Amino acid sequence: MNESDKTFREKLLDMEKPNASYKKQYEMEVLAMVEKKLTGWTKLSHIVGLIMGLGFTILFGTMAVIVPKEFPIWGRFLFALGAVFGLAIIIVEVWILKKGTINLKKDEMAMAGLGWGFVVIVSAAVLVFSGQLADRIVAVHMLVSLLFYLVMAAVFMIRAFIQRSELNTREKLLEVEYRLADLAEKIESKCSE
Amino acid sequence: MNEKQAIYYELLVLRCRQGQKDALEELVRSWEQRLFYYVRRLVEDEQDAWQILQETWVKVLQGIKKLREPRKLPSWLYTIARNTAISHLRTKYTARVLLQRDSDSCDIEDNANNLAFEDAEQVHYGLGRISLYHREVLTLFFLQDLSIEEIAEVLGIPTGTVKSRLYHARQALKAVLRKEAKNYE
Repeated sequence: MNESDKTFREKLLDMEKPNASYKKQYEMEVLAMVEKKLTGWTKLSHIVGLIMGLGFTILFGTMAVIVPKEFPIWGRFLFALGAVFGLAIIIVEVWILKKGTINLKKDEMAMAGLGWGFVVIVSAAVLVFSGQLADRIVAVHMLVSLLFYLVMAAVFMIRAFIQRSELNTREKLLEVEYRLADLAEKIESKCSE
Repeated sequence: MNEKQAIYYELLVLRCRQGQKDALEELVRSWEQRLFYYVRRLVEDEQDAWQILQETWVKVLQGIKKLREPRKLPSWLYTIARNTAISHLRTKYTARVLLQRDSDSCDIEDNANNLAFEDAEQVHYGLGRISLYHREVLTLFFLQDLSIEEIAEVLGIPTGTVKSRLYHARQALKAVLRKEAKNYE
């Protein structure tokens, strides 16, 4: 920008000549702040998540392979699905731990999705097993508890989804409003010319 | 503040609340120079000013989710920067430093009104030579981010007091610049 085009404020701000080394140090610290680095506890929770993912993959993967031939095919499929789910947890956790930062918007939705997936897979597995049980009362108890967890998970998932959708809608609306205001400003300046 | 700017602030705050890194970076990038200039006028040491600015961003990032009126973003940012600077000054000096009125407005002539502030270099120089009491209000005024009402909000005083402080601060600045001009002659 040409010096003469600058506003008084811009010229005034340019008068301040900060010390380069102080500024660099400040910028590094502010960047670390903005990136939402993983702290001790959050890092630990992701390590626990990674171990759980490993556990799921090994457990469900082994079950899918070693179950007897007479075991229903869709039961075997559910175990395989559990192993895939465990693998998805491993990928997400390794990815977060590797980059060392959290993106609240993307990562939290991924974690919520994984949580929901976990509940659905466990529910499906319980359904399979309760169908196999000879004791009908125990089977009904299992199904009732399953229903409770399913409803709870669904409520949390729907709530998270609604909140995210509301924010996204508000963001889109503001973007449209901003474009309209920009357009109005341009038209006004053209008319005044 | 025009409507477009108000919408921009609302959008920026909303994105920051969602934890969008780009929005947080944009917030810091677009405001750090102005806030630094303001803070630098409040504290003598440059390293302290950077430290205060950093603390300001910590508070901003922690508190942005609670900001009820995103359109008030500029005054909110200046208020946080000011409060952080004041607590820093309290630990270094006494609280009176910011609040006490200095005597640099005593020898003001009434006919000083015809001096216009157009030279940024002169104003920058003059701001460094008037009292903190006058410097603060005048810096906020020259940075042109806030209306008189918003300056009053940041300083925690009535608008009438801001106007009177601004008048006296301008006179003090003019007196300093006039004195400097005489020295050159």
